[in-house]
Parts: sequence; structure tokens; C-alpha cells
Amino acid sequence: MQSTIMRSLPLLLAALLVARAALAEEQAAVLPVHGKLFVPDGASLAQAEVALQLESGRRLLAFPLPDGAFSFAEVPVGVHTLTADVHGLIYPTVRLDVGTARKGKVAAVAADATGMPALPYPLLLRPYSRIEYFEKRQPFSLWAFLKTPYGMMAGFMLFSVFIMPKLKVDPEEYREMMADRERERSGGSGGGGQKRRSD
Amino acid sequence: MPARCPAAITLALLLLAAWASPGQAIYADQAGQHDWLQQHVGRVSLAAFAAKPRARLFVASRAGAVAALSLKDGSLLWRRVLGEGDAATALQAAGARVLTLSGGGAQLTAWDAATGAAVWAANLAGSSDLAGPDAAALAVVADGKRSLAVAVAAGSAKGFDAVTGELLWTASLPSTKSAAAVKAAPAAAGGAWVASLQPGASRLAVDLVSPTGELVSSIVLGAGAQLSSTQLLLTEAAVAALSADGTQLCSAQLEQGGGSGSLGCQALASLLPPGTATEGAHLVAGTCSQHAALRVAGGAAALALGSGSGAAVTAFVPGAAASGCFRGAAGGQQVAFATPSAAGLETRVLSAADGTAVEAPVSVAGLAPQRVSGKLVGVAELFAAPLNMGGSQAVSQLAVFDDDSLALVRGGAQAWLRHEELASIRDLLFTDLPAPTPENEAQWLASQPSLRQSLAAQLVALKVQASRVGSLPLASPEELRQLERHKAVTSDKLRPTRDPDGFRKQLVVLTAGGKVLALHNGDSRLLWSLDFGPGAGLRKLALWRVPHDVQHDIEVVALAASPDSVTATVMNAHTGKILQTLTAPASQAAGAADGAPDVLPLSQPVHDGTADQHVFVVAPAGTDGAAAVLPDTPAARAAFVAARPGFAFWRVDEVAGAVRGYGFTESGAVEERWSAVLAPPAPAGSSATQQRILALAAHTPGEAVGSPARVLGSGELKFKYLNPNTLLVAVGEPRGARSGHSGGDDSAAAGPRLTVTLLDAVSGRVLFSQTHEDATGPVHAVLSENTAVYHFWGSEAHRWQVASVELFDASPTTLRVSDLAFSETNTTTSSWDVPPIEAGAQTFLVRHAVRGLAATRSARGNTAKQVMLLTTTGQVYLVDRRLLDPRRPIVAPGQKPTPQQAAEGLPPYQPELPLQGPMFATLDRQVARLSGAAVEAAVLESTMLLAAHGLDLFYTRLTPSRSFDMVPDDFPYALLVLILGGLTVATVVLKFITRRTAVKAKWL
Repeated sequence: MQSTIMRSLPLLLAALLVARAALAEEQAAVLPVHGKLFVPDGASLAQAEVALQLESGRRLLAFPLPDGAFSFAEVPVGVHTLTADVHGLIYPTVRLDVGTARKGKVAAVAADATGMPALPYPLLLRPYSRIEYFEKRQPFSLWAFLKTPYGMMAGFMLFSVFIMPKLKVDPEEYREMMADRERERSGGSGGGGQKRRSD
Repeated sequence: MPARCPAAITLALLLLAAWASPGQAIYADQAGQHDWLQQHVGRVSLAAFAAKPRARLFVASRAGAVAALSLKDGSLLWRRVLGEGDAATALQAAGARVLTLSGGGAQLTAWDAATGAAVWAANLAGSSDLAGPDAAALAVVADGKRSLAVAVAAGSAKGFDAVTGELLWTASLPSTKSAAAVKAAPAAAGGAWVASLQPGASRLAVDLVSPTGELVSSIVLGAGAQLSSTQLLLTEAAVAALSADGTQLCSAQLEQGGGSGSLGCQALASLLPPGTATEGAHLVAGTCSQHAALRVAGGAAALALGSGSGAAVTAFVPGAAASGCFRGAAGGQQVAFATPSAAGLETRVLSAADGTAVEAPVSVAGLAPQRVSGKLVGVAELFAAPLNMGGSQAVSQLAVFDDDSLALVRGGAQAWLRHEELASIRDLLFTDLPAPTPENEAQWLASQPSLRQSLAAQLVALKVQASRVGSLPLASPEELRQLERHKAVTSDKLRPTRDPDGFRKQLVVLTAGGKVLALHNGDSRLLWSLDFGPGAGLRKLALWRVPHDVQHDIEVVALAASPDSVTATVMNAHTGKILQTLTAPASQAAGAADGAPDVLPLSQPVHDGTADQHVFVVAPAGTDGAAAVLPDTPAARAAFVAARPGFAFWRVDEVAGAVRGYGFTESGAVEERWSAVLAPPAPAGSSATQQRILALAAHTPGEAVGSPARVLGSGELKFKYLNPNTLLVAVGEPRGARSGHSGGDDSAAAGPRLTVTLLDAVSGRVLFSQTHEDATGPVHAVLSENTAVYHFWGSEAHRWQVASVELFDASPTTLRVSDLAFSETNTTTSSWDVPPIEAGAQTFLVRHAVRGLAATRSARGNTAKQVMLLTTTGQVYLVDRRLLDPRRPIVAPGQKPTPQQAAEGLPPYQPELPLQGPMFATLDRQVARLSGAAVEAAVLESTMLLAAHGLDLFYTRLTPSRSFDMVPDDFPYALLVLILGGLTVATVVLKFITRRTAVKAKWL
């Protein structure tokens, strides 16, 4: 009796192992996902988040550590979307194939880049660009200033101070001037009369 | 030379004016001028006080926020928001780190106590290994100079260096495997106690783990009764648990050494004073060695654990809430109690050992939140710790009220109060502020700084402007702060009255807990609040009466619907006084399906002499039920009768996958007019994925339309199809409907389809329909004028997409010039007209995942329209209508658009919508868990007011076409005056000069 058990023990063990393996296969419906955010100088990861939008509609969040590393311990098998939210930076939107194309493997492509280039796994995400939330103050430009109402007013003021006096011709003076010229041309010497006629 | 003088002034002015660039773009320094963000955490469930390195308060909330608050003023120092549906289940402060357990107890995260950055994280177990969030525990244990974080989950204990996150050891604790509840606490002798309870068991396993990770001892403690898995408490030297039925308290002292022992169990009824209501008993976690606190419906008690046969009650305060037991400054073990009372929250600190008063009972005046019924709002949780602040030692008590508000009490006075109920806004309404009256104007003036202060501030402002030009630090930081303070106090946006431009308004909000609050849009200050409680079932806010004169106040209504009636509570919007409560019966026909009645506003208010009265029609669920009118006055009934023939509404039948249109019969009964089965249920056994109605969108009533026509580049006129009864229905597969069998044999089958139909809600006529291949939900949509915009997931492109549909009335034009000149332009199309419809549609790729869409609306509809994407990252992104225009011309790269295309002013087609930083209405801020937005047009055409809510509340002014109808806020009035003055001086001087020159010329 005992010997039968002893003989069947390896068989039993093997059966158990197979069952365990099958169970493991079943449980492999989740996989871990790791990655790292590359952050340029001057940007902070203090409020950064990495979101994994599962195809089931659920949204998982991970918080990058100071070195940019993030991980999701249990991601169900499927094709998901990973996005990184870092203040002032735009990261690629990643199409993450978790164990559907190749069992037990994770593959990533940048979904929003032309041609959908493959990304390395474990993920290393580099930002596309910076994003400025505010308009930059334009440096002072004289021409732009002159076009504003203030510029026009200031221009008019300058005009009235420096140019206008030169343009000022009193009709009466003009007539006198013309009369003087007339007299000079005719050779007359009535210049004194002009002096006397000051009012 | 006298002429030099004005020239010099001019030059100075030139320099001064350098900053005045045209337009009104938002610069970094303008942020905060007309916008504010109120950040909240929501209902606090866990709190930890830290004395070192700085006195701080760390909290975790049910909504999933982990935050640090200033003890001084309650301001939010930092906050992290966990994923939706997640919340921290344990919170411990350990020096420079704050540790939390989240993700159902599986995720241990250490946050930087100063900045909130995640410093290290560890995954403790697979989610399937844990029975629930109670099955994981966290304790911070001192190990020499180092702080050790001991995390217990799924059969093992792990020791981490709390600061660096280095895993120091792992100890196997088989007793905690598949446990229903696990607790960990530092042991008095060093190391950590771990108590665990198997599901449904009446025995506790208690293990002692040394600071180096060895299992020192294991004890099994038997109790006579089955123990509750949620009410387990572990202290440095004792353990306590409530029985599963909540009637007994079992406890024992913990001693080193193995073997088995027993818990002494006592009935709560015999422990507590006779007559105390013992329902809802729960143990309050603390940091004492042998004492604890217990709360029951009738009050709270301090307990001494494991003395003799079990526990002993050392103090009992009826009607109070108790904090966890904590060590006082002098080392004694204390429990804080807080009792709500009409005179203010009554707080006291008692010694847990003998019940003597450590801090005598004090009534905190002013801290007595009340429901409108007069019932006091209870204290849900109380946290307390002795903290040395500003040189004085006192117990700080943090009270979480049942209405979610959060108050810190210190030394018998309220230090601060946070309105955390604003974290759960359900509805938001803008209303006008009171009209200016001599009284409130005088009040405002009295609060203003004196003339001398104002002059001093103007001087500093000049310095600041000059330093901006010359990049010289002319103004000191103290002066800058002074200027900021002056600006904050004197800013016109803070006046308590309305302004002619319609910029100053109040926000009336309704929270999930049934509270109605009014906030000033200038600085988010609370004007009034009314607490109806969650039992009132309030669902919606609406305008009720808008008076024509300025003497009367605006009235708002909060609506609550139950299957057989609708209750309307009318409030004065300016004082928060409840004016009347009206009930309208929703009399259903016999045998009608149960369901809440619809409350439908009539499109036009009734003018009843002194005010515009808004009228609501209550349509009972099902058909044949009789409609009721709110308010039930002759004028309102007459208005309903007049509107009845054209009055239509719709309901969605989820089961049948249909949209049904309803109206009212002559007798006022609900009748079905049409139905459209858009997503028929899949036949049983069919492998096809079920199609569902994913989204519905209708027009916001009262939208102003600037022009009923559009001029094309060719000069041709196109008339918009402006039917306010248009309804958008999106039918398709919800996201993830196929995830179960992805990669299987259905890859050969057609991809998911999304069908979007535009219906007329009155007649049920289909106006337009289009199908997107390889597209799924979630779908969000918005309708504005003749345009429908919706957002969906493109599964093939693996990108979010936005589609826009524009409808035009293609019937031959009958418009004559005389019509334009002499008749009023009609900007709506009747549902009964059946013109041929011309539609344009286009799809774009977009970066943002959204929680909703909205559209801007201005007073007259002339300002450029923008579509607002409410993103999942909590931002509001504005997309100009022109970018979504289906008529965007396709221009080959390298070519110029034709003159006709250019004349239309549309940007050439690009498959992706551009992402521009300045187009974020939320600027560089984020509204956590953004869920909705409300837009209100100001009186000035250029401006509209936006409030976005979620966990946070954000308010800003929007000017999609820039502020074309007003002087910019930073308009340099001083410069204008200087220039005018300069001109005057120049004129005088010039006159003088000319005279002198003339005289000189004549003397020559």
C-alpha cells in the first residue's frame, strides 16, 4: 500500500506542479509596468503624476519618485494608454500593450507621434516640449509703442513742441513778409516803417 | 531753453509707458487678478499631527486626498490626490516623511513632509492577496535614531527605513495571511505588535516583531464571541476589539511570551453608564500604551484596557465625540472630547487614567454648525495632539463635522475653519449680488484705507512700474507686500454689490451633503450658507424670482424630487433666508413605472408685476400622470397652458436603448409623442457586443445667437439651422466592452462603431447621423448654436478624437434687404419647419482625455465661441470654434490658401488640434477631480465668468475675443493724465515762446 503511494508520489507531484503552472498562467492576467520620466533641468516632479487609462475605463495613478521612476504593480492584460502629467511639460501619449501581443511582455509605442515609433521597455519617457501657460511680455519696441494711443499722443506732443513753431505762420505776418519782399525787390528803403509798426 | 522741459517729460513718459503693450493677454504676473482656486481635501478620515521638523497637520480624506495643512491658518501647504476610487487607509507621520497605505492596503507610499513629492514607494501585496483595506497595517517604530516603517500585509511584515525607503528586513507572519483585519503598533519594549483576526474568528493572533525583523513571540488570544473585523485596536501594551454584533468589548494586556491567553469580554451596556445608547460603537485609534477611546451613539468614553477582567471606563462624556488616546505634554495619557452645543462646540481634555480634567470644558463660541431644522451638526471625527505653537503648549483638536467642515480648536478658541463641503459641489449657479444702496456703499467705504494710505500705495505702484522699465529694484519687498495688501483691500472686485458691467456676481452652490452656500466671486468668501442635510435630497438649483427693481432681492430655488412629489425650497439669494417651501405632487397614473418625476423649466419666465417668476413643470414618471406647476399660481398655470402645445421633453430608456419624446395632452397629462430605438438590446445568445446609449446632449436654454447666417469666402450666405430642441445621442460600445476577448477571434470582425445622431426633440425627426468606425466611448458632447461637438475614443488610432457637426438650413433664401433693415432677425428655427438640412462634419485628434465638454456663452453671442474641454488632468482647455470648423480648408503643404479660403478666415485643416499653453482657462493650475463647469455671461459682451468645480473650485473671467469693449485693467490712467498735462504745459510754453519770438522778430 505504502509502496503504491511512494510510486505515485512523483506523479502526484508532477500533477500538482502542472496545476500550479496552470494557475500561474491564469493569474498572469496582470503584469507589472515600470518606467521612468526624464525631466529636463528646471522642471519639478513634486506634483507629477503618471496616469494609466485602462481599456476597461478605469484610471490608475502613479506618483513618480524623485528619480522619475514610477510603477504600476498590477496592470490587467490589454492595450492601455499611459500619460504623464508634469507641470509645464508635454510627454508622449503611450499606447501600452500589456501581454496581448506577446504573453507576459509589455510593449509601448508613442501613439501621438507620426508613425507611432516604438518606445523602449522599461519605459523611459522624454518630454516633447515645454508648455508656457502665460504670454511672454514683449520687450519694448518703439514702433509698437508709437502705434498705441499713448505713442500717438506723445508723438503729437513732440510734434507740437518742436515742429509746430517752425510751421507757424500768421496770415498777417505772411502778408507783411510778402510786402517786405515786394519792397526790397522794388529797392525801396522803407525798412524803418516796419519797425515802427510793432503793436 | 524752456522747450526742453516738456520734451524731457515726454521722454520720461515714453519710458514709463514701455510696459503698456496692446491687447489683454494673460501674463504670469496677471494671474490671480480675476481668478482664484480654492483647493479642498474633502471629508477628512485620517489625521496626524507632527511637531517636528515643523508643526504641521497631515490629513487623508475619503475622496482620496493626502494633504498637509498649516496649523496656523488651515491653509493647504501641499496636496496629492490619489486615483479615483482610491483612498488612504493608514496615515503616519515619521519626521520628514508622511507614510500612507492606499490601493486597498497594497501600496505603501512615503511623501515628503515639506513638499508632498513622492519619495519612495513599495508594493506590499497583490490585490487578490488582501481581503480588504483592513487587512494591511502600518506602524512607525523608533529604532535608535532611525524611524522604521513596519508594514504588514498578506503574511509578512516588512521593515523600511522611513526616510530612504530601504527595505531592511522581511519577517514571515503566517497568522496575518488571509486575515480579515490586521493592526500594527509600536511595542513599549521596542519592535512592533501585530494583531490579526481571521474572517469570522473569535480568536486574535498577536505577534511581536523585533526592530531587526525577528519574530519574538506569538500569542493567540481567545474571546468568547465572534469579533468584528473593523473594530480592532492595538496599543503599545494592550489589544481591544468589539464583538461582531457590536455589543461587547473584549480586551487584554499584551506581554512578551508565547502561548495562548484570553481576552476579557464585557457587555458595553454594563461598562457604560446605565441608559446610554450603545449602538454604532467604535474604537478610536490612538497612541497610548494601555488606554483607548470608545464612541457609541450616546457619547464617548476613555478606557483603561486589560485591567483585571477586561476594560474599565475611566471617563464618559454623554453626547460627545472622542479623539484617540494621546500622550500629553507631561507624559500622561489623555483623551479629548468634543460635544456639539448651540453655544458652540464644547471641548475638554480628560486624563485617560482617572478621568480628571486636564483642560477644563470650554465652549468654542461661533463653532456651532446647524441644520436648517435647528438640529446641531454632529462631530464625525475628532483628532487631538499636544503641540507647542508660538511658545505656548496646548492641545490642538481637529474636529471633522458631519457636514464635512473641518475646524481646528486650540486653547478653547477656534483657530480656523475649512469648508470642505465645497469639495463635493453638485450644482452651481451664478446670481447677481445685491444692488448698491447708501448703507452697503457706506459700509464698503468704511472698510477702505484712508487717503494717505492710498497715496502712499500709489507712490509704491509708480516705483514698481518704474523698476519694471529700468529693471531696477526700486521698491523693497516690504513695499511690494504693502502694495499687494492695498490692492487686495481696495480692489473693486470685492465690493459687496453688483456692478453695471456684470462682473461681480455670487456663486450659489449645492453640495452632495445638501448644503447650499453662496460665495462672492471676487475672492471666494462665504456670504451665507444653509445646511439642509443629506436627507433633504436636494438635486438642483435654479433661479426663482428676479425682481425688476433694485429694492427687492433675487430668489433662488433648491429642488428635491421623490417618486411622488417635488419639493422646492425658495431662498433669498442675498441673505440666505428660507422664504417658502412648496410641494408639487407628481401624481402618477396607476401602474406607472416608479421613478423620480422630471422638473422642467418653462423657457420664458412669467412677468408678474414686479418680478420675473421662473416656472417649473413637474412631469411624473411614466405616461398619463398629471403635470403640476411650480409655483401653483394662476399666472404660472396660465403660462404653462399657453406653452403646452409646443412643450416637449425627452427621457432615456436604458433597458430598451431608446430615447422617447414626451409632451402634454390638453388635460395636462404626460403623453409619449415619439420614440427612437437607437441601441436595441442584442438578441439572447448573440455574440455581438451590446450597443448602448453613451451620451446625450441638448442645448443650454437661453443661448444668445449673434448672427443667424454665415458669410463664406465666396461671399455666399449660409443660414445656420438654429433649432434649440436639437438633441445629440451617441450610441456605441462603452470603452473596454471587448477587453475580455481582445486578441481573440473577433479580430476579423468589424471594429466597434460609434453612431452619433442629431434628433429634433419635439418631433423625433432625425436631422443628421454619422458613424465612426473603430470608435468607442466614453463620449462627451456639447451643442452650441448650429454646432455639435463631441469627444470620443478612436480605438484604431489609439487617440482621443473630437468631431464637430455644423447644420445649415439649405432652403432657398427668402431674405430681402428690407427684412434685415426693418424686421427683427429670428434666430431660432421651429421644430415644425422641415427645411432641407446641409451638414458639414469633421474629426480631429486631440491630446486631452476629458470629463466633459462645455461652450462659452456671451451676453449677445457676438464674441468668438470657444469649446471648453474639461480634462481628466483637471484643466479647462479652450478650443476656438474656428479650429473645430468642418469648413477648415485643406491646403497642400507648401501652398498658400486661395483668396476665397483666406477670406473665410479659417485655419487650414490639420488632423490634430493644436495645443497652446495660453489657451488653458485654468492657467497653470489644476482643478483636482474636475467634474463640471458653469459659464455665465457678464453684461459686457466681451466677458464671461467661468466656475469649474470638482474637488477644487476655480473661478475666472474669460474674454475669448479679448476685452474689446472695455479699458484694460492695467490701463495707465496716470500716464494719460501726465500726457494731457504735458500737452497743456507744452501749449502754454509754446504760446509764450511764439509770442517772444514774434516780438523779437519785430524788434529786429
